[in-house]
Amino acid sequence: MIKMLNVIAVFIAVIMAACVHVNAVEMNEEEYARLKNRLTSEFMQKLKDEIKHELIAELKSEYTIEPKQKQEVQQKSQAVPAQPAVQTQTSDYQETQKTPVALQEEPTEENALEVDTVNYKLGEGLTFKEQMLSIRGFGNVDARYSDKDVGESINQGSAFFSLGEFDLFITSKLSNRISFFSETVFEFESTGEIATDIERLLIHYDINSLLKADVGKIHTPIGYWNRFYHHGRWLQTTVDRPEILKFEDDGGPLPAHSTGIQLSGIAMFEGFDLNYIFSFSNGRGVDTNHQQNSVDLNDEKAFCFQLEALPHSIVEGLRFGPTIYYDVIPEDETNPNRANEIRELIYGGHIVYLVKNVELLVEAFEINHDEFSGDVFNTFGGYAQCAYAISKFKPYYRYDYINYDRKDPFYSESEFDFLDTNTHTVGLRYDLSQFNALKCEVSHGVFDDEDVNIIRLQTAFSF
Amino acid sequence: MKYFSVILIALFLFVVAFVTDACANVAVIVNKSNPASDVSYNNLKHILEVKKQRWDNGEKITLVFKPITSNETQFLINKLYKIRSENFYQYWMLKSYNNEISEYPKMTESLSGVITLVSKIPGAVCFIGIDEIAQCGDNIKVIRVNGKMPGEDGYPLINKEK
Repeated sequence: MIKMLNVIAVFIAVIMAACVHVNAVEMNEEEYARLKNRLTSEFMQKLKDEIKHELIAELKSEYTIEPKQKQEVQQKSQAVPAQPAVQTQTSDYQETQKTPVALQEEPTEENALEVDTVNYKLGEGLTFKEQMLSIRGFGNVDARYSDKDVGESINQGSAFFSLGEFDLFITSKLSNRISFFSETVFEFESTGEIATDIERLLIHYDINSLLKADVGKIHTPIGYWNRFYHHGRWLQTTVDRPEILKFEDDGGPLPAHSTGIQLSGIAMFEGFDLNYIFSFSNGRGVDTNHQQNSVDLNDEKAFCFQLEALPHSIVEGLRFGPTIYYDVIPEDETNPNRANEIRELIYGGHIVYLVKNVELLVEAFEINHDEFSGDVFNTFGGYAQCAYAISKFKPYYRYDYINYDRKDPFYSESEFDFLDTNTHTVGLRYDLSQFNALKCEVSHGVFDDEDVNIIRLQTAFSF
Repeated sequence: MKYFSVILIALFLFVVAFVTDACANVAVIVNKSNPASDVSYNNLKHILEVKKQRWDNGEKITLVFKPITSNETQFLINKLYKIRSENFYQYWMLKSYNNEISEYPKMTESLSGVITLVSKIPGAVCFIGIDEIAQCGDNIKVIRVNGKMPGEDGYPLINKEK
């Protein structure tokens, strides 16, 4: 009985073991199938995602301008795993100060920033990196109302809108010490024509801080305004330039442009700096608007010298200095009243104080014309301007004064009316954005004993 | 009395924390290859105003700035340039327009960008916080100003408004 029971027990055990084995094999196959399905679906999903990303990247590269180097960098950074943090001594300072040693990545090509070849940035313009060629510009649109028409420069109606100057300036670095600079202005004449003036065109040699040379057409280094504000109306606080510093083609009495050589430099001392600028140029033509860019009608050359002190240890932001200009203006053979050459001697000076919110500009000039026949004519003019910035607002005031010698043939025989001027201007500049300013000003002036009130509005911008 | 002591200690710690944070040194960093190890405050001002455009070895100086909103750049604008921060771009545009510079200074958004530029450009100079020096690489060194290192007594570039 017991034997029989043992046999039965062994038989049951064998059957159970066989069943367990069979079940086990069956379960493994099921699991294998499930696993296979899961892996296949995951693989397919991954493949789909990868194809999708590649397609998107391809489409993006077709429709966006991405520098080649940057794409290479991206590819490299994807291919190469991130470098392990490297323990390094970072500087002399750290060695002396025993500061904790830094944990950081080595700077590599992967994180190089200068990869662009063409770049546009507001305020810096369009830049082509190879030669550092950059194109920038200024423009302005004005509106003006005056209650009287007086003089050539303001007798073009009493109320009108006006396209101002469209100024393009191009700079290019030709080598480490040589650069090119040009400023071209498109002006909209009252006749409807568009005049194109090359206002500056020069090559600049940066020898050292004591000596820099500019060769070409420059802004004559007379005073401060003519050296710094040029044609970009957005840069200056007021709507217009001071009366004494108007450009030649606007009826200005001073030679604002010259063609020749300019040498300049700065001597830096512990408490103050000394700037000097010397120019040697063709000088003026037969009348105030005649700029001698390609020839000189006489052999006499014009000289201009300006010395400027910047005593920053005494008063930060203060600069002042004298200017002297000498030229011989050629005779005008077509005009009997201008039969003689004129020796021109201009001397003047400026005091400028610019610190944070405060702007103070004062300039004065004496223009001496000696006709060689014994007649000497003196014209005196200048301006004083102050402004104080409060947030985006900048209220300002300017006083302009010019007293012409009415007998001076150089001015009296000119195409412009040179009027004695005594003007007060009050205005407000509002910087609407970083590169756009709105200006509104009211002027009360006496032009040759005639009272005139003028309202000017301007939107000036840079791009 | 116990509460009073706790309040006093808390107040003391707050004042200490405020004072130490209120005066932060601004460090001047240059490329390691730059032989300059010391610069006077006056020279530094000339460098920032681009009156001095070359190092003594003739290398062109390249100014690198942290973002205009950073404490260090704000410090430079207020204390060294003495202009309004709104006029910072106008300042450089005027420099370019007057042909005083042929290239704008570089401004990067991140410290890693500053480090990359300074370590790659031999004549680069940048101004960073003293606490950021530790993150600079092998190719960058901190230079003395008026013979002083950041943190030393008499160091002139102290941002009191931080």
